[in-house]
Amino acid sequence: MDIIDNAGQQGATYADLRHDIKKMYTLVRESRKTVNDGVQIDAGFCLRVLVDGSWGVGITTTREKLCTLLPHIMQSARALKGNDTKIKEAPSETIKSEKKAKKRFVNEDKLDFLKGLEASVYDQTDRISSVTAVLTAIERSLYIFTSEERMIKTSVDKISLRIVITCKEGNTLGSRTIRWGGLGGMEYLLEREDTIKEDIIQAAREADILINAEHAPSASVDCVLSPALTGMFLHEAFGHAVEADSITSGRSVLTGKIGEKVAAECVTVKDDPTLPIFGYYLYDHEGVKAQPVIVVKDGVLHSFLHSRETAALLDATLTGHCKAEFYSNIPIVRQGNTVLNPQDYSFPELLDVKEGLFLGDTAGGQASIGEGTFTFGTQYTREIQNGELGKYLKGCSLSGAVTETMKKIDAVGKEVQAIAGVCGKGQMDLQGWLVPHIRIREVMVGGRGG
Amino acid sequence: MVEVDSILKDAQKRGAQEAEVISETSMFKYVKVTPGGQNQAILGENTRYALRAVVDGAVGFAYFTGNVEDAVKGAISLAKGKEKSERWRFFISDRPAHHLNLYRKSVEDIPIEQVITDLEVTCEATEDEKITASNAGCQLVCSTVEIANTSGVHRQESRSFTSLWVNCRAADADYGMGYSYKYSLQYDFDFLGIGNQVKHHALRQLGKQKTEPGKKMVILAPRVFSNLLVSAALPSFLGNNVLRQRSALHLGRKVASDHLAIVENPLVESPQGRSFDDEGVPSTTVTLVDNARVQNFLYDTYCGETTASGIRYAQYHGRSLRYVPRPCATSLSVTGESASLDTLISETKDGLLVIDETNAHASQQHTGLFSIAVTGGFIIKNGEISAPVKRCMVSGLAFEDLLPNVVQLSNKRELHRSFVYPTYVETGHVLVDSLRITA
Repeated sequence: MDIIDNAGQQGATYADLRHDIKKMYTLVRESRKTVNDGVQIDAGFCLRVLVDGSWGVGITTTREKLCTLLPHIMQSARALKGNDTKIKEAPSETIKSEKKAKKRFVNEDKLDFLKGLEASVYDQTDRISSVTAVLTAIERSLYIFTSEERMIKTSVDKISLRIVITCKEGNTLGSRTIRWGGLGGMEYLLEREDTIKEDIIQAAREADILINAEHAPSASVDCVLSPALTGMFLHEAFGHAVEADSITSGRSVLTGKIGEKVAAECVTVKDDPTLPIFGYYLYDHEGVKAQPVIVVKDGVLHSFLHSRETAALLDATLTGHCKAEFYSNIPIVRQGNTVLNPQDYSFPELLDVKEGLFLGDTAGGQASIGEGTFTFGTQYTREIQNGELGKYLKGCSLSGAVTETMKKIDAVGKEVQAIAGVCGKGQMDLQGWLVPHIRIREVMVGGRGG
Repeated sequence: MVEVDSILKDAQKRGAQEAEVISETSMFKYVKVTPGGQNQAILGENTRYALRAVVDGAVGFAYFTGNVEDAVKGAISLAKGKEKSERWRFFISDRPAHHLNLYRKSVEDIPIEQVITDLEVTCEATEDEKITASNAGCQLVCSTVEIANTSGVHRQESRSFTSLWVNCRAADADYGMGYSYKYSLQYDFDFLGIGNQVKHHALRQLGKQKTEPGKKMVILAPRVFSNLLVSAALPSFLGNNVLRQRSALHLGRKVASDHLAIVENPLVESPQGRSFDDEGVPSTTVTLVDNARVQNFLYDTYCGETTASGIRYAQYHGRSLRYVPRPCATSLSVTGESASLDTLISETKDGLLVIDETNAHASQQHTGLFSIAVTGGFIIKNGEISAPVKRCMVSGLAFEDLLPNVVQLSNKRELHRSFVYPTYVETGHVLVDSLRITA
């Protein structure tokens, strides 16, 4: 690869070129009408050079511009004087890896599938005001060349479906959003059509109930989290704090805590991008092979998630956790698939609290890794009284200190669910969670109720 | 680079009765400086296109960075495979537009070495024995957007944009965070002053104390109020949500205190300004809230009578040609009865000053329910700031608890940009009479 050789000749100690082609097909239906049917094709190049201990990066949509950009990128890196960045190298090899859809999105009749789902929703209540379905297929091909003479060609197809159901009476609304996603194409959703329909029917009923539901309390309570919320909690509270770029910059509260107890003993968390769920990949966007990483073992912090740079800085093994959303983004440390090892508790056993809340589906969350705190929202809650699920309440937020809250997990469920998650960190990333329900004692819950 | 007119012609040749093309060419520089390592300098240039092609009343969409022929074929094919859109009317025709001067040529000429030096000044300014981490980043972008359609619209706008962000972390017995985000059309940041300010914010957050739960007066800093306004209230004003009955608002509904006004005003020569929307419709001012009541909604050409609010965006992605236009605000201005921040504080017997939050973005868009964690703030007792506040939560409904209870705004205004919607908000601090605190 000439541009890599040129970078080396001009003084780069490392260089990589990522040719990144991402096609996204999106079909959007609102209230039983197709409102958008489109394709997005993002194709371009990201060239990184490491010069005198600093990174220079060039981004362009045209290969020819790379040669023009290179001297400027080198100059920019040199201007960042006084750094000593190193990277961990990977062996020289050529790899081709593919995970392609069996049923290509463009060739499939998606409309009948969506219309069937819509009909299921509208059948549940006459207070439905809106149903939005967003069906997205992603075909991503990456060609990565490095100065180690490493060439990785990888193609992965994924599909996701998000449905938003809104019910309305007068000026009051209730709403539920659910998402499914996995590897491959339409076949992934068609194989799960019955389960998806069940989930949608349940969500429609809940959106209807939430119109008239009371507000969740504002209190410190025992909570049982749905798998979606468990995934969100681990992702926000913990996952970001173990992304090693936060560790090496001193911004994470878990800096220097490997070997320390950071969670309850029943908690063992790993990150495994190679699991065939929504966050799957085999090679990251630095061309490094993805590795399963035990992050927390029996409550003790075990490892971080690394890029080439952080692995060198912390003298750790490469884990292959460095990704970019588009060609125009630089790769940064990201989670892959978060896994919480299941334990012994059945769902009824988890509900065994006198007074508490069941926290339903996620409404998004955020971490303040420097403070070591997290917040995330729920779409709905349910009362737990004497071990039984009670009435629905509107959504609320959960907040707390990461390690303090992780130590309050006193029960982990026995059945896991695969959840399709999305993460922002300046760039959106598709991630998976394979997690059960959990119970946490005395968590601060902020609802609008008293 | 391919001319938009040639793409239009190609689309028509392949069967589109109507078509619209928008292109964006940009050059950018970005520098991130982290004392102790992980410094980056990024240079780049992009050319992107988006095409909407209409065949027999059905619309196909393609976004692409190259390979024009395949993209045009793709859009036409998607249109042909679709049922006719009952709401589709036509692409708008040409009409006179204001011209805003949003381009400062000097931004093109700023060498990256200068940006690096300036950011190093900023990071040095944050140094203190109690500051454990800091970093800063600066972005400079020069871009040209061109839009043309088969109804005769052909517009072009060049713009420059610069942004600076700084954050640092203080640690002692507890932690404190300081942040600053600035936006401009030119390269005119006070690098030293901002670094000092951020350090000061972080250090002031050390020594946190608990507050009592309950209902209290709350002063929301501009960044916090703008995050809540955009995430919890704005969605109910968007025409697609109104059309699809995902909004609880109607014209004339009482939603705010009497003196509060919220206006979408993109006709400003500032980072939030634009001469036209992403359908080429000349920008206009739209009053959303005045005299306590809903005055207007925001529409694109698809959802209703356009208010020049057709914006190409996706949540968490900002404005981007990757998406079809849909209603959004880009430049909200919040005004009302105002006084100095010191006056607002002195009027607060028992309350909080919230300067930073998390989770506003997870507000329920359709209901306006919000529940944020206060990650930076102060306890106010008897009209004076007493101590930084330990983590607590503030919850409520946008149109029942937040906007109707706005007592006063501070007269010093700031500009903030949401990371959820492509929306800037210009506002002062906002004193709210009563919000629920969980602690």
